[in-house]
Amino acid sequence: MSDKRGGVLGLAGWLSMVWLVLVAGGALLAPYLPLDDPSRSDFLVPANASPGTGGHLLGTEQNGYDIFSRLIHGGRVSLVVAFGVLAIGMVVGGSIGLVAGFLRGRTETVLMAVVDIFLAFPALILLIAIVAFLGADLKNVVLGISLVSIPAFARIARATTLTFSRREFVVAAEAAGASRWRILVREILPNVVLPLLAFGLLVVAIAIVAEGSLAFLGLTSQETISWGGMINGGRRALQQEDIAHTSMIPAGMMFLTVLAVNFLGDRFRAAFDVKDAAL
Amino acid sequence: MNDNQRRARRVLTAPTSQDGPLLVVDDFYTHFDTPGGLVKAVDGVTFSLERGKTLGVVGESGSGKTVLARSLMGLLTSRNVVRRGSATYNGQELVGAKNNNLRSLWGTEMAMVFQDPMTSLNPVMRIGRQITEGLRYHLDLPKEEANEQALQLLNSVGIPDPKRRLTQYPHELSGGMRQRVTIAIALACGPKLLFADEPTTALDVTVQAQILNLLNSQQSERHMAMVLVTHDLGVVAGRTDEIAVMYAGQIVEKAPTRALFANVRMPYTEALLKSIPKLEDPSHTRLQIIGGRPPDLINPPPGCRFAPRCPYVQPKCHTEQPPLVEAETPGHLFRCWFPVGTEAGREALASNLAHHVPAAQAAVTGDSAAAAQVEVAQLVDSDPGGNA
Amino acid sequence: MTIVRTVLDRLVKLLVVVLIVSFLTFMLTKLLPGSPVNTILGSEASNPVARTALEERLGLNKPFLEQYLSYIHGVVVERDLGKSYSQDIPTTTSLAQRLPASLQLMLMAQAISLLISVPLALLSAYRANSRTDKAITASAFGLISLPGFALAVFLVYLFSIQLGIFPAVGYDRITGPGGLGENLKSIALPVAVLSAGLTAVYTRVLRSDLIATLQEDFVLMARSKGLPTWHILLRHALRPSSFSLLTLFGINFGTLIGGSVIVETFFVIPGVGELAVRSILQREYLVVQGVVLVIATAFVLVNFVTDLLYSVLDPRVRRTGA
Repeated sequence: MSDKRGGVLGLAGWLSMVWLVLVAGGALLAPYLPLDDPSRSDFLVPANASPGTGGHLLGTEQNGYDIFSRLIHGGRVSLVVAFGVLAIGMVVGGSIGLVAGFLRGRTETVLMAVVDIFLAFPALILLIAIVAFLGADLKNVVLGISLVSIPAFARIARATTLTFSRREFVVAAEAAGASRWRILVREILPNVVLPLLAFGLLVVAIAIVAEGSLAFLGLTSQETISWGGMINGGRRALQQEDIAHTSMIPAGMMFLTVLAVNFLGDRFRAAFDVKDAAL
Repeated sequence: MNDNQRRARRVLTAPTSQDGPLLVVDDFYTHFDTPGGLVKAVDGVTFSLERGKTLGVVGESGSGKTVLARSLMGLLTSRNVVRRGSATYNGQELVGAKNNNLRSLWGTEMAMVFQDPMTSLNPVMRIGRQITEGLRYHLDLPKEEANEQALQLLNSVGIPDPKRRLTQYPHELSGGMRQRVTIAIALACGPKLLFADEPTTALDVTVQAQILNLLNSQQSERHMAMVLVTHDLGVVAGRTDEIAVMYAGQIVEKAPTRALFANVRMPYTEALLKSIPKLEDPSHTRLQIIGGRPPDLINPPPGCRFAPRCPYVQPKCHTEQPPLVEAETPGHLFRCWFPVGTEAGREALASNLAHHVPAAQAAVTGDSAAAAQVEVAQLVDSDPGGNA
Repeated sequence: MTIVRTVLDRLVKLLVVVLIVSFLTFMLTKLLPGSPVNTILGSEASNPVARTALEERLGLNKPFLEQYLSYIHGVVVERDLGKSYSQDIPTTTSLAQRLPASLQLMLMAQAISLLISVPLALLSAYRANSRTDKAITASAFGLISLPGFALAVFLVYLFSIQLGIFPAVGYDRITGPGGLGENLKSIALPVAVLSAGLTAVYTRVLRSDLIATLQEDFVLMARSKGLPTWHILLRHALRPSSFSLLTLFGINFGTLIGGSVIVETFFVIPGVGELAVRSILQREYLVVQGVVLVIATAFVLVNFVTDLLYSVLDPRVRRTGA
């Protein structure tokens, strides 16, 4: 499924990739980069300064902190959330789905019933409850988002496993006498991982938004710098046109990053989608 | 009979506006512009068809026969289709015609019966509706009359208990009955030209003859022209007036049916004939196969396109494409430098056998190893650089 | 006969699921740290006598199962979903007050999304890969990637601050002084934010299914009958392509019943979602429990209805009851 111009990813796909590498790279290297201290106001420049004043690339926000620096640092939270949710979701949710799809029968019915019931609960409310009651630090946020994303991973993993279980190479392995465990790990698992990962990217996009929503509602710890928090912090500023950038810039940042993740996830899904692949 | 029925009847039996062939196809091309290159699916086809006559178009998959039928009707609408040449229906030019003009011909003037009745019928729409929607749109019939006509149509295609069938869904009918329904749908508004694209391929052998007989009887009753597309020479044997054999987008032999079977000239046709298993053969007779595979339609070989697989092949065949020439019987055209049944052909075959040319061995002795060799040679030839 | 059996069978499953949901909801508050006792007693929380007395009164020292059963009894028989301790309002009353707002949000957002997405998807699928299609697909993609609160921020900035057409916060009831006019104005932006995301997703999903359906043989056959394009799109292609859309639509009815938390919080709309968030932040355990129970049960019910609708749409499903 390739674009005429750029191969599997296409021009936009490569742009997304580049953007994400920049964001992730910036996030990882933030402490070592020549950036202003994101939590210290520059007394020479007023708060809510427009982009470009006094050497601040994107201006300052309501406390006088440098926006550009906070954006880069904010990426760390998004990065942790992204990887955390992806890892936990894929491992836990993927295992559930894999086992259910492979073993079928009672196991599958029970597992999937549990998953479906879990899905009945409103995810965001559950998430807010978890974070509010357990404490609003990054660890709990990641745990909470992972928890509510596990059902989705489980369902996709199960669907993918079902499709692959029926394929000929699995039947061949069984006929050759391979044990069920071996088939699961050697034949099915490698094939399920890729579509799951593609789906996982889409989940990552949602996770970043979820974290942003939590921050927006004020459910993050005070020391954490996150884009959602920045958007919320600048909410009052919307009243005045010239300082609206304190809210709009982080909103734009989040939008671009989520867009990039979504786009890549979509491309990968198209490449690895089991239904599209020729049998 | 009321006004609408009278009107419908008039449509069904109206004579052609002019004498002479209904469908005239002249040097017709259909190419697909793909990222990999220009796929020349139909590459210069010429024939004509009169009302009341049947043309059989025979070829293997990839020969272009299905594309030909769909392209002639104008059903191909993907953006990368290129149609050139001329195809006139009743004097009206089809190539380059506007979509709306083409659409006005569909249903009332020309129709198509598709291969797989399970997929060509809408699974969530009742049979009756699928028949009457054409009637109501084209002939403006009110609901009850349309249903009446649908009943009559179902009767005429041999479906028992038609009243019940009207309210059923496709999955409730057997394969043979579904195909009868598609035929009924195609014939509903009285077309004068019918394309039947592999109408029996998806059906049980026992049902195939019934469907083919049905098509034939409907055709003579309605005085239609019919193009019967198939990969099976057995299907066209007793049921067509003329047969055109297609290979790699071109017509390689065209003749009145009897003449084709009696005096086959093109080696590909001969191979097709030979590959039909015959009842009189002793059991365990090896099936005659044609080694190798059809050529690449993006870059077909310069000479005769069948050359890599031909038992009669000579050096000339690889470099010069043979033109369509006429045989002794008038109306029998073929494309070959060393045709079957001629002195030149016999010599060519003998020489090939003596030199152990794989294609010749495969054809004469049914040796599958030799057939495999033909395919390997083709693969190597198509890719001299070694990059597959 | 089989249809009746299938429906009964599903109803039984529904009941089981609802019971499990109620059990899990009940567990919810037991699992979370802190105790309702602390909240209620407030400053007296450290007083052991007061604690024991309250626990006795709330029945918190009884066996687990007994508590659950009395809880269920309370819900089903007495319609008691608990109450807010700080304000002494029964949850049922709060919910009743807030349901209209959330319902209005949900119904309008779903309706508008459907009205926009279906024609867009039809247009997009019919002209697949054309410039129109690419524009529509790109826009849908962009909207999906835009978080709700970001869009809300932008819309408020444009329409409330700059243009002053719609209010930035607040909700005016239809029965209130402003009548329908004020009601619609106050709900315009929230509905816009909700619909944006929904429309984008519905358009993508429907378009994708339509494109697949348009390549099917029966569509080609319908074309070969000479039927006009709109007829083929609406009568032949749309129905078999609507399954994914229907699934999503149904699921969203379920999720939106909980009110859209972000939208309600941002625009200060007194709906169910806002109630849930506020109760969580104020540690009103019982209210949270009641609200979650209602939302989850509604979700399960809506899914049940959606499943039934499948058999209406696809006659092949009716027989097998799949």
